[in-house]
Amino acid sequence: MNRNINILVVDDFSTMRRIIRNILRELGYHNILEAADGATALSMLSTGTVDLLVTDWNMPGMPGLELLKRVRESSDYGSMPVLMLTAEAKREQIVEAARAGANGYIIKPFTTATLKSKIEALFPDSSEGPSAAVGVS
Amino acid sequence: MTPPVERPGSGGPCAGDSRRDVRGCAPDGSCAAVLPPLAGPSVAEPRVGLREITDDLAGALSRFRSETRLDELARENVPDARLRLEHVLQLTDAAAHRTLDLVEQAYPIAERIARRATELAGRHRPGMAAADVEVEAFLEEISTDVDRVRAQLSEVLLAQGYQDLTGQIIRGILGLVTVVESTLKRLIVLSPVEANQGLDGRPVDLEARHAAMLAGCGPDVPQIDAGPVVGGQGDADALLREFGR
Repeated sequence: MNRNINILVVDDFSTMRRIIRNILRELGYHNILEAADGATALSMLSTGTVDLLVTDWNMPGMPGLELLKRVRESSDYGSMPVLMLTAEAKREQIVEAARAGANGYIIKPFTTATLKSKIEALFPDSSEGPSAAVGVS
Repeated sequence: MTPPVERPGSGGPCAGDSRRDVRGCAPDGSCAAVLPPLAGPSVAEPRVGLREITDDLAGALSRFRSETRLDELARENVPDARLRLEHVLQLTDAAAHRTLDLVEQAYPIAERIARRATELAGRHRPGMAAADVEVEAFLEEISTDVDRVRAQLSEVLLAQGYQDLTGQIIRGILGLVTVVESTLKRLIVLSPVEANQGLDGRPVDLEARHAAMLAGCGPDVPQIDAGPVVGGQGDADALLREFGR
C-alpha cells in the first residue's frame, strides 16, 4: 500500500488548505505541499516532485481553471493528475474543467469518502484493499 | 443671425472650431449634453449664458449631494462597510484556525488511547478473573469508541469549510464595495460644493451615536468603533460591582 505520493494542495484560503491537509493525513497521505496561488503552484510543479495536484477554482490572480490549462500545456508535467476541489458547481463550469483536462471534480462542501475515492481512482496502488475498482463515483 | 446651435452629447473633446462651438461646449472643452440654443453672435453673450448654465449645474449637484447624503456615504458609511466586511473575514479566519488547532491537538490523543488500548487488550488469557474480563471488554470498546471520536473530529474539521465558502462570498461583496467607495469619492471631488473636508474631519453626531449605543452596535470593529471597550469578563464584573451589583 503506497501512500507516499506527493500531493500539492492549492487554495487561497489557509483554513481550507489546513482542512484538506488534515483529511489527507487521516487517509494516510502524509506528503502534502501547499500553495496559496497558481503562480506559486506552477513553480513548485516545475521542481518535478509533485504526483497529484488538488486545486481550488475561485482564486484571485490565476483561477484554478487557468492553472489547470497551464499544467496541461507544459511539456514537463502536462500529464499530471489534477483534481478540482471547488465550490463552483455550475454545469458549464464542470464541462469547462473536463474539457481542460481535469481528472476529477470535487464539489465543496466535500466528504472524506469522496476525496478518498477520487484519489484512489487515480492511484490504485494507494488504496487499502486489492486495487481493482477504477470506476469514479 | 446664425441659427441656434444644438449639439447632442458626444462625451468627447470638441472637434469643431472655437468660434462656433463655444456655445455648445463646456469650459474644459468637452461636449456637454444638449444645450438650449443661445441667441446672438456677440462674444459677451455666450459667456453670460454659460455662467448661468454652470451655476444651475452646480446647484443641482449640490442639492443631489445633500439630499443623498453623499458626503456621509462616501466618507463614512461605505468605507465602514468595507472595514466591517474585512473584519468579518478576519474573525472567521481566526475562529476556524482556532478550531483546527484544537482538532489537531485532539487527534494524537485519540490515537494514543486507541493504540494503548489495543496493546493491553492483546494480553488476555483464558481463566482470567471476572474483573479482568470486564477490563478486557472495556479495552475493546475503547478502540471502537476512539474510532468514532476520530470520525467526529474529522467532521468538525470539514465543518470549518464554512470559512472558505463564506469568505469567497464576502470577498465578492468586498470587491463591489471597494468600487462603490472609489466611485463615490470621485463623485464628491467632481461636485463643486463647499471645500472638501479631509477624511479625518468627520463630524460627530453625538445624539445618533448615543442612540446607537442604546440600541446595540454589535461587536466592536477596530478602526471604526470609537469609545472604550472593556478588556474582558473580569472588567465587566468589576464595573458591575462598582454599582453595587
